[in-house]
Amino acid sequence: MAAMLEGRDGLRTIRRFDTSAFVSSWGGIWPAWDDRVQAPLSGGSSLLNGSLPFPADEMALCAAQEALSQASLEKLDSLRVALVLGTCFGQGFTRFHELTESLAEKLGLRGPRVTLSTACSSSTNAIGMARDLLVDGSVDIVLAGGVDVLLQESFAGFNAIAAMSVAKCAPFGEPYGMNLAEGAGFVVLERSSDAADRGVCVLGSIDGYGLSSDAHHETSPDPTGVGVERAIKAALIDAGISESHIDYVNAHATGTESNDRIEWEAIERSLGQRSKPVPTNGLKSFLGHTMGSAGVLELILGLLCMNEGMLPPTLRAHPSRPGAPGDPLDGKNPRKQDTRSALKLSSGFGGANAVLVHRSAPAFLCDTKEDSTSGLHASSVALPALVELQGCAVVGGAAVDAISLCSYIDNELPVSQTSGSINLAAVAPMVDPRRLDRASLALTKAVATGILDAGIGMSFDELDRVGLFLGATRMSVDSTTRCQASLNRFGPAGMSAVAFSRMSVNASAGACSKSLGLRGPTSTLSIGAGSDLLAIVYAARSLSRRTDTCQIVAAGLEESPEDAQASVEGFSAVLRRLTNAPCSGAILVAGWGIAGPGDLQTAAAAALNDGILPDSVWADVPHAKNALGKSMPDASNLRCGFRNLQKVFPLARNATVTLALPAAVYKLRTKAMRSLLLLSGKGQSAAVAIVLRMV
Amino acid sequence: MKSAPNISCLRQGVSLRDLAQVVALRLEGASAFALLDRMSTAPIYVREGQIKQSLFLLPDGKIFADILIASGGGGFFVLSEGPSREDLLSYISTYGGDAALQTSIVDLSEAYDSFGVGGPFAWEFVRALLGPTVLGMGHLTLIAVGPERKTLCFRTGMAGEYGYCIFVPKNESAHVRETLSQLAAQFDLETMTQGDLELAAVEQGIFNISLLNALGSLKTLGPIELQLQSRVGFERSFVGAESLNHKRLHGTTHRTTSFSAASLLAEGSPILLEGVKVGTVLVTRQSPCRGDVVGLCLLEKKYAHPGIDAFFAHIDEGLIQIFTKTPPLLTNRSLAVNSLVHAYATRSTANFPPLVIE
Amino acid sequence: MTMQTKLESYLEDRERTLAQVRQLLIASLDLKRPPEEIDPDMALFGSGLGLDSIDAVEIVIALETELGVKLEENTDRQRALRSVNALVDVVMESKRSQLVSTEIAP
Repeated sequence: MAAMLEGRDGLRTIRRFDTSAFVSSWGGIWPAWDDRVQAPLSGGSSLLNGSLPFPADEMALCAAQEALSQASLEKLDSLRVALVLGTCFGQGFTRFHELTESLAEKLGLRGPRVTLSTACSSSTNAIGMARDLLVDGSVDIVLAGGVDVLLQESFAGFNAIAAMSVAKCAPFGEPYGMNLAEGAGFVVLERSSDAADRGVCVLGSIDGYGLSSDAHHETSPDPTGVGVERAIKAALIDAGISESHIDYVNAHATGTESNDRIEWEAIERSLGQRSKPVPTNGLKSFLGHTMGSAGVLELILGLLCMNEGMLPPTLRAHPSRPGAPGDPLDGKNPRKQDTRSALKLSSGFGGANAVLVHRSAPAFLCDTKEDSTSGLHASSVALPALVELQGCAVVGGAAVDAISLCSYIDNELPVSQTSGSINLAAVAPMVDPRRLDRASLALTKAVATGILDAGIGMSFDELDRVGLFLGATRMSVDSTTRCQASLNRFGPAGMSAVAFSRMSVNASAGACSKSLGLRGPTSTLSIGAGSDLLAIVYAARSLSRRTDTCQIVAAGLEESPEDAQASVEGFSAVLRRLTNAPCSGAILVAGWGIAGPGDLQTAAAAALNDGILPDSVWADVPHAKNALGKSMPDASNLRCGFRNLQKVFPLARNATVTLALPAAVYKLRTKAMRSLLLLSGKGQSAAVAIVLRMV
Repeated sequence: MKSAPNISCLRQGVSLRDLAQVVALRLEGASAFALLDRMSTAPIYVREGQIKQSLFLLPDGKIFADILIASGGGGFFVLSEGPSREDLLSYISTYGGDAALQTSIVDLSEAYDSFGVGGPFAWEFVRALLGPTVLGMGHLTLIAVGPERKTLCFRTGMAGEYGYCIFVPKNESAHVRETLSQLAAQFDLETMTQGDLELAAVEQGIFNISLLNALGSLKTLGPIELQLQSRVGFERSFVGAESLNHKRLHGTTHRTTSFSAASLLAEGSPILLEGVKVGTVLVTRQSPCRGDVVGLCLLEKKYAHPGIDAFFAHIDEGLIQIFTKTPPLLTNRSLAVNSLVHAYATRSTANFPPLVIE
Repeated sequence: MTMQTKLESYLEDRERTLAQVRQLLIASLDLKRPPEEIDPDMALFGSGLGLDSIDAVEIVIALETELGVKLEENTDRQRALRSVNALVDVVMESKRSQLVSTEIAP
């Protein structure tokens, strides 16, 4: 903060690795690691090993401890504290949910841990999701933020796609291009009534958020800016305020030619014509592009200034480039200006846009005094709507027809999982499969098949507003292998641009959205085992409480890299918000729950919100029966019993439960069952549950 | 020459083109995709608002139509050059099977007036005409503009330059025409003739179906000889696929190559290497922009490469040398134009690379 | 060298380089086409192969790493990436100038 007041940025010449092969040598580096060096890339070095001197959890721990100590959490039940972490590259491009789990363990947090990986918008989405968890009452405190480490591999990648600036980056100014950086940041979120009860000092409020998908290109934003506009509008609806209340925009503003101009056009359109343009800054001019932690770090920086009655400047915004904002807060020092509500924008590879609406502490406290109710913007808590499961699909080695699958499940017999090539022609003949790697092909096929199963057409109008939430635990095997191979063969200057453009966990979601034209909200999350089920929970929750879209496809992907013929499974579930009473024969996602790792009881209890026992429970752990028995004494008398799905899908690791969806739907539709509890408790991040019920 | 100012508009400014040779159809219905799929040589990978180049062939593998397929508003557009409207509709009903019967096919000329615009500053002209949204259009995309979003703007390119085909609903046409004539003087607008278009195609080294159809016996040349394989998915089944694949398996012997020369040459003139025939002249045209003659010839595959000056052809006065080249035979100024920085009015102050680099 | 042998030698070089460039395109762009289906005058962007900016970067990198050809300025790059033949031209030019410089060196 002191540095910011003086107009000093954090960009320096990189000494950690040799930058002579790249166009730029600038980066934002953590001073604590100044004495560490990354060995030159050589044939045979793996992406993971090369990253070991720079453990992301070390940096994250440092930031997390600072945040937690400010929030005075000593006396709290750690089961009710969640961790939501956003990251682009995790640890060595390989460990994502493992990173989050490791961090939670070190901090002693025992509530659910969620990893968000939507490239550069990860931590912004993370903070939004954290807010949802609190509004729903799933937990009482959320530590939300992001982390990413600057490695020569990521540097090589951005160099390969010609995104970097030869000098210090100048959002809205000159020269064009970005600087890569690293960082970790966290905010501690709590319901304002609880914070008031505990007498904790408040630093600001998160009032709402919005997501959208560009569905345009792997790395370039949609030139029409429609995606950013939609995310802004969704955020304003969630926050229950009109665009006229926004008096400051903390933009994504990477400094690249493609991003900044389009972003400003979208902002202008969303916030309407004003006599004075809304002040819009690019804090990457101070921090560089801190990737997964960009959203949270820029939010913090913005809030700290706002709390002092100031707005941070954009360094080097002058001379401005064509299409720059009318008021880019150009200058070296912050400007004295009070603000009420502000936007934080982030956009990531794969076209994932996320926007937060927030207020400074003074504005929040002022509003709270006037508004004597709970302190949450009352209008943002909409009456929950019913959510219908319209259709589903499973593709890949475990895909079996529904009737046979029922028989396997009834008898807990293993389905033999094979692999094969994936062909889109039957379900999506207009999609060009070139540049879709195996994971993207599987996901696109799963989603297209699910959409057809739901009886929805594939026209532009029908799919334009549909969202896609993906549960995935890793970057695609194809792209990681190809990236690694190009690095091994040619060194950093020879990194494959095509492979790097797909080096994000959400790349498949981006590719699928683009192929099918899905421009609704998008997110990619991981909790390790159960990620697929969590995608359904997040989609159902969003549809139930938000009005920016009425259909979201929840999907999951699992690839096993060990085989040469790597197998891939994908599933999709098309969910819809019901505005009228459900028709008979509809299947509802009647309840859902998330809890700390292994805590099946809490997750199940939240899902069974009306307390009625389901006809059956299908889980990915053998001890579900015992675990539930404690809270549901009648559980051993379920009409259709417990089923251990791990026995049915022995090779499944992360996505297990949703492979059974077609059978679940079949049984419900044929009235073999009226309700079903699906449980995932295998993972180290969270236990997840959903209840499907026939109307 | 009369054509000189027109072609220079295409190469340096803005030119107009009437779309009389283009038959534009709108296809709608659940079977529309299937219908197009059985006729199109190219796989129909088009997302909403995207355009793909393709061909329709006859069962014997001969090229019937030069096709653009676009996806928009829940249906498809087909822009066809080559056959007349009647012949095209007859082709569709002959080869479309049941899918043709179930698809609604409407000729756009019933409800629309149309024209084409091309040249390095065509984007500036179209922006003045239709508004700034056209600037965001990528190559081979389609958008709907106008007060009721009924005006269709296809960005299709024209012989290597910026190019647009615009379809205006008849009830809005008068207004657009008026704006057009107001802008015409500002942009020194000229209208391209069919001859201009053919010249532009030869200068660019791109396929033009009227040139092909004007050839005598050689109009049986197919996509393989004519270097149109990018428009063919050989594993697909479409009308003429069998013949085409047969040809492919047996191997073709010749391929087209672009060249320049000092004089015009007759179609069918033999191309000689040290007196031995290695190919045939297909078409030549005088190029005012280059100051010499540009052409397309058919050569034995072994010799079908650019950069050769060893070939000769006969004219009345004797033999002239021909020079095979990598197309395009002049630089496309459109590639050097930046819409954020350049404008037609100030074009002489910009430092564009010369049209001819040799 | 007679004209014929000079021509033969040029054609040999040309065919060989064309084969190399076709292979390079197929490998770096995931083209599911056999080499002979890639026409020499096939455009790379817009029509023809319909590539985009990421593909362009991939080609430039592959040219350097596989064939040792470095594409410099913007106009150089633009011209080289017009078509398959344009790429072949650039590769052959680069080989020629490498040959020349080795001849000149003492």
